[in-house]
Amino acid sequence: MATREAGKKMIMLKSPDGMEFEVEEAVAMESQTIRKMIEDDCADTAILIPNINSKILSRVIEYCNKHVPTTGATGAAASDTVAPAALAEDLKIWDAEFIKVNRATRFDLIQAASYLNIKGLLDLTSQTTIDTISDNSLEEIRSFLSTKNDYLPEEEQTIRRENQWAFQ
Amino acid sequence: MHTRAAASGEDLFRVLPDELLRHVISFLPSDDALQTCVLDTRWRNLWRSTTSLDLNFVYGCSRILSCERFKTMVKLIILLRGNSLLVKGGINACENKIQSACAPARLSWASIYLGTGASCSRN
Repeated sequence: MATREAGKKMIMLKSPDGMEFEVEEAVAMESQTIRKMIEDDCADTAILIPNINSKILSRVIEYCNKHVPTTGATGAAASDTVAPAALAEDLKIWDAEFIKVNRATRFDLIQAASYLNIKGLLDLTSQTTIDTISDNSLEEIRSFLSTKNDYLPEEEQTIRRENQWAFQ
Repeated sequence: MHTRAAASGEDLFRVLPDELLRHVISFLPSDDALQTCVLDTRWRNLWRSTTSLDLNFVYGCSRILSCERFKTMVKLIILLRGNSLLVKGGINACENKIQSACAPARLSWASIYLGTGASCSRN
């Protein structure tokens, strides 16, 4: 175990507020943005992740740690003992717990997932946002998304009329 | 951007680029996604270019009351999407009850879909 740990390549991620996170390269490469930096040899010592503070970056790393595919000896051992369906179910439950955060944090996670290009996290945050608003009224959704109805009354009527078939 | 958004609290989703909002509403069923057009002028056409198409009709359970109406809706949504890129798509009808009543309509989904020239990419 010690040998395997020692053999893993580590990457340093830095947040703009000065925190440093040492993570396995495989975990960091869950982010397609970081993967590209590493593949292009732009990641010698440390990678500065702009716009993502340490609180959010640590959550993102936590997500990537959980979702990094297990490979080699560890992976073989895991798939010998746990069925893939059970692993997927475990991840689903973990995701559901992970995303129990307030609106502002979820918003930050959406932005981080988008910038770092982590499809699983982007899908999870998007789906949860939709689940949050799907049973709400139009005004509640407007409020959640921070939009203001800037249609002229007659414009809104026209749009509703044009799409009448969908609003019934 | 992050710090400013977190500080104001009110403008969270406003600062997201259209591309990201489009991704978020891709998780809505298509008929719900369409309804986001009334949110404000920015949202007016976002739904047209979501990368997914998810249309469901279950007899007796859907908001849409008849197969014919659903068929029209599918057709219109696909037409209004124009050539928007599609990554994921699904049209499901009559998953329970009175399957036979909808069978003729069901046969033509594929032709509607292909006939309107929906763009599709594999991902």
